Amino acid sequence: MTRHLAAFALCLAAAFAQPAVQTPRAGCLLGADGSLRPVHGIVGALLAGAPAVSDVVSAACSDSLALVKTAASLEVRDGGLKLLARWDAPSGAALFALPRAGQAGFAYFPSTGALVQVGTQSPPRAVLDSQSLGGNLLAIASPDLLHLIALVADTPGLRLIHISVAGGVIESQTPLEDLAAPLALLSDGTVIFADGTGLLIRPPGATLTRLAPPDVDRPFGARQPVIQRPVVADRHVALPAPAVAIGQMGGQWLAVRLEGGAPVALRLDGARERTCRIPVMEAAQ
Amino acid sequence: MTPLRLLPALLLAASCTPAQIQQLQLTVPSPGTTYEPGQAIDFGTVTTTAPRTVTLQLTNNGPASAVLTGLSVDGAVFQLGWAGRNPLGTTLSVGQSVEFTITFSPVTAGPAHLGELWVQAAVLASPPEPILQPQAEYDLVGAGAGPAILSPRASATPTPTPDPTSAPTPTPTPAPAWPKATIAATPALASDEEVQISIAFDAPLPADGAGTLTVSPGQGYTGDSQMGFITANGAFAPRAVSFTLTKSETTAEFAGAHEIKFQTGTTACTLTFTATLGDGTPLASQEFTIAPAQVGIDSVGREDVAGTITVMVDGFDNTRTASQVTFTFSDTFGHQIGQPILVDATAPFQSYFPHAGTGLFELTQAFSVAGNVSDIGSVAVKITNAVGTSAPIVSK
Repeated sequence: MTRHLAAFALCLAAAFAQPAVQTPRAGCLLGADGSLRPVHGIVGALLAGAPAVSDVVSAACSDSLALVKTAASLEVRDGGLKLLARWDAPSGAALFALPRAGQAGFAYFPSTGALVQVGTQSPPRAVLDSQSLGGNLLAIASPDLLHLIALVADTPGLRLIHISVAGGVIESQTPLEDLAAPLALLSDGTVIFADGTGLLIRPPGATLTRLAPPDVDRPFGARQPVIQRPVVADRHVALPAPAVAIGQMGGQWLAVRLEGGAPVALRLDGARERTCRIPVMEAAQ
Repeated sequence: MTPLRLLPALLLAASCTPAQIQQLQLTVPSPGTTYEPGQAIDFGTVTTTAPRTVTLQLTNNGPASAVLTGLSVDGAVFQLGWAGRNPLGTTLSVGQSVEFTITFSPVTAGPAHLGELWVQAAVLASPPEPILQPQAEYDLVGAGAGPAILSPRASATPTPTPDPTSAPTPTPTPAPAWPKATIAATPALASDEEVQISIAFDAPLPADGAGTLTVSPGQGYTGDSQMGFITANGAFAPRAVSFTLTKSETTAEFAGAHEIKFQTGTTACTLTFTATLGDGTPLASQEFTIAPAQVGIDSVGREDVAGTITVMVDGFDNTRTASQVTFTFSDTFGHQIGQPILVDATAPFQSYFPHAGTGLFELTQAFSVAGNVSDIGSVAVKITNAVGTSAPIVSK
């Protein structure tokens, strides 16, 4: 009731007389040839433009930022792929976590095990020793700059680890069922992974629901009351061919590269997902 | 489903520098030629009636096992094949090989048939994480020769002067009579859609052939950067794609498929699709209309910063006449806050569309908030254009 009254006390007014209008930006697309292209459009009308960066090893984009790993450096670029900062980095690939908005993100370098926070103003800063996670780090995601989620595989199995960035402290760990590569981890803990010729979307809690005790008959004809749990189930997304790579294309977008090279965009709007092709502009002859 | 623990590093987009040695060596066993990435595999001159198939071999030269994660061919006249099991996904121990074929089927006479072969492998050198190698590209080249039925009729090449000493020119084979063709779109064309375009014949085809499917925007078209064909390998072809015809079949093929994807863009206009043989013979032409529609809102997002809420609206207007935008805010209980706020966006839309080359837009409007921004649960947005007012779309 208090909140209800508070809401009535709200007063909104357009801060500017006229809105701004521009072409919608969907993110960036890393090609198998190491080119990074800006992607503009909406579901059903996307287009990956001419390459803006070449010789890219790994990349991820949010609505406002792109982290780009080349052979020996880590670049921070804006949403239009304009270079903002370049830092030395270990050789090899990188995993990235980018909050949907903001001017910083996280990078993990498998070659050294370094897990760092990276921005434009100062060199990358270590978040914690990845050895303390106790396994191979497979994917990272970040809801905001204070929190990091890591998907870790070790001998007992897979775990989702929530990390407080400020102190480099592990806040919680959740066991996960087996997944398949390639995969992507979203900032809410959702895991998306390959499943035959499609993808499975596993929201947080899906595993716990599956492990809930079965509703069995009890002695003397009495039945124990069933504990009501919200139904959280895996969702399947059909694809025209098996996925070979999944990357963060934008704030709400994933780019899925299919066997044969054709990219598909997957957009997640809450409990709904939509897919469409990402046509790629060919190089000028 | 592959257990993740076995192949975790396939998550990585790439894990080694281009300078690393290509572990899989490409050879043509007969006559034993080895190719490095970037080199051209020359199919020579091949007649249009007798395609040439070359068997190639990928050998793992070590130092570790590798998984073949990518094998594809680009180019309409080159086709990938294999005997038995698809080599993709095959794990090759050091010294092991896998074979596949590429068939060159030129459909026109001339030297400039180009394509590409793409190969990629993940090296299992550092368990448990395979290392994905950079994709290797090989050029495919060949020349076509043979029957003139597929050579361009309006070629810029001058007609050669007959050599009086040469043998008499044989009487040309009469061109086959092609059955009636129909171009279809499924589903019906509308803005912001991916549709399938197909060419069907009402009788089996009398001969092999090839041609081009073009699209020509007509009335109402004011430019649309997102409108065009999407080829099987994901390339964007704004105005034309090639197709092949196979004797006895009743549909045209686009890189092996019976239809080609077409991204309709965001412009209300007429579109004329025309199928033409390589020699210029028209096969079919069909005009479609993309009707003017209400504004389509794809998503509504918001960013809250102390005292301000910024609303971002992504959508399209295929009439380019968007004007009034209506924002209706609700609290976290779903109760509407005050009256809807109307914003006249006619001027910014009219200054944007003529230069944008698309009907897509992202509209950003900031609102100052007197009160607690976190009490705002959602915002619903409607936009009016010449056709009407769109249904409200609520922010996530």
